[in-house]
Amino acid sequence: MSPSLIRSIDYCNPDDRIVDSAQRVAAAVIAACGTTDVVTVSMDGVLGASSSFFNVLLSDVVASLGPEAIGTRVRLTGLTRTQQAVFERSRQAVLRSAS
Amino acid sequence: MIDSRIDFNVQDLSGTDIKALLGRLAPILSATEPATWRVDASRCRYLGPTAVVVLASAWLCTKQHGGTSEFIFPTEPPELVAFCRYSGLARLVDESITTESRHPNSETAALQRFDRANWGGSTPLVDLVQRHAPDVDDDTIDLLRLCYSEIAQNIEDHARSPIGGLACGRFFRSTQELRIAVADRGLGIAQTLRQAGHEVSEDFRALELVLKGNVSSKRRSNNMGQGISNLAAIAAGNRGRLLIASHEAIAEVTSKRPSGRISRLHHGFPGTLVSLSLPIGAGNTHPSP
Repeated sequence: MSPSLIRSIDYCNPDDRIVDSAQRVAAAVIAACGTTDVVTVSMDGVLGASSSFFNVLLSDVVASLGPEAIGTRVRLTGLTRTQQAVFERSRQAVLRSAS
Repeated sequence: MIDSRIDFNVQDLSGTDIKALLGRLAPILSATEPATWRVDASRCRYLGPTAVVVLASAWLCTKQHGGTSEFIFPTEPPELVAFCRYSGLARLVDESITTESRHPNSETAALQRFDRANWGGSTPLVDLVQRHAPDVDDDTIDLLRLCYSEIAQNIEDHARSPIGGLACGRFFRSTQELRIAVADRGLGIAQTLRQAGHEVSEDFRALELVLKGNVSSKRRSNNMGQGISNLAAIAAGNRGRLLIASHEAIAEVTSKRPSGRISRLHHGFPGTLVSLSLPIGAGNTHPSP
């Protein structure tokens, strides 16, 4: 059974491109959603996640699971104050783009 | 031989100073054929990361075109002499010079060249801050890394810069302030938007649009046009300052002018130049993009 908790930090090594990490987190989320109703993405320990990180993560999840999955089947935790704001702007942009 | 002189101080976030610097360097920055130039900064008493990345970009582009360059460094005060050495500017022209930016007293994150937006790209800046402000909290580090990530991602995605991106930083102990500058010699913002079908004839208008946000080349799926507006919001919301010059326009963002004051550059920067100042230390930052 796929884990229902995805730790983003496991996909964010210093030499990794930020958008590549986001794609891998998204792939893990999508795979986990195949066997679990709700997947939690922990951002604990991830510092410097740019708008591109969230744009890629959310775009891939929305493309695979639909826009309604954000906030219902896929939840993010451990966001810093800055990340919360960046995430919200990305969420709005991705949903706008998907509609 | 193009002779230029920087005989004035170049404050990183001063639009006036940056305009003056670009004016003095205009024949060098606009050269598209092999050129020979010399910049004499021996009478300058302050220059920082912004001047370093501009000068380094000129140096590297000239080298790529097969030209030759000479740079005469400031001779005082000692802090400026040290900065020129450890910022990597001196090393650029003389590879035998070491930068030693990990020295405990170093106030500099040495010039680095990059092509991609990696998680680790901001580490030299974080190391610099943590050396001087060991109690700095994760929110501030996050803010700092985010700023770098947004700038680096724009360069990776849009710039097509022949020299990639150049970044440099300096910490000011007296004011607990970090200054970062990043430059590329790529397309610039207006040209990038035009290639994506936006009807933007002026650099001035392009800066206005990207500062508002949600205007992008959409070249890749991660492009939603938020990077520069995030930077502006962070600077304005944290008592920081942001300066962006792209070809013939320059924008200055402060907490008093969160939407930016945009003006035209008589002598432009052939690429994009971003300079950011952030206060560091307990209670200094209030992350709110």
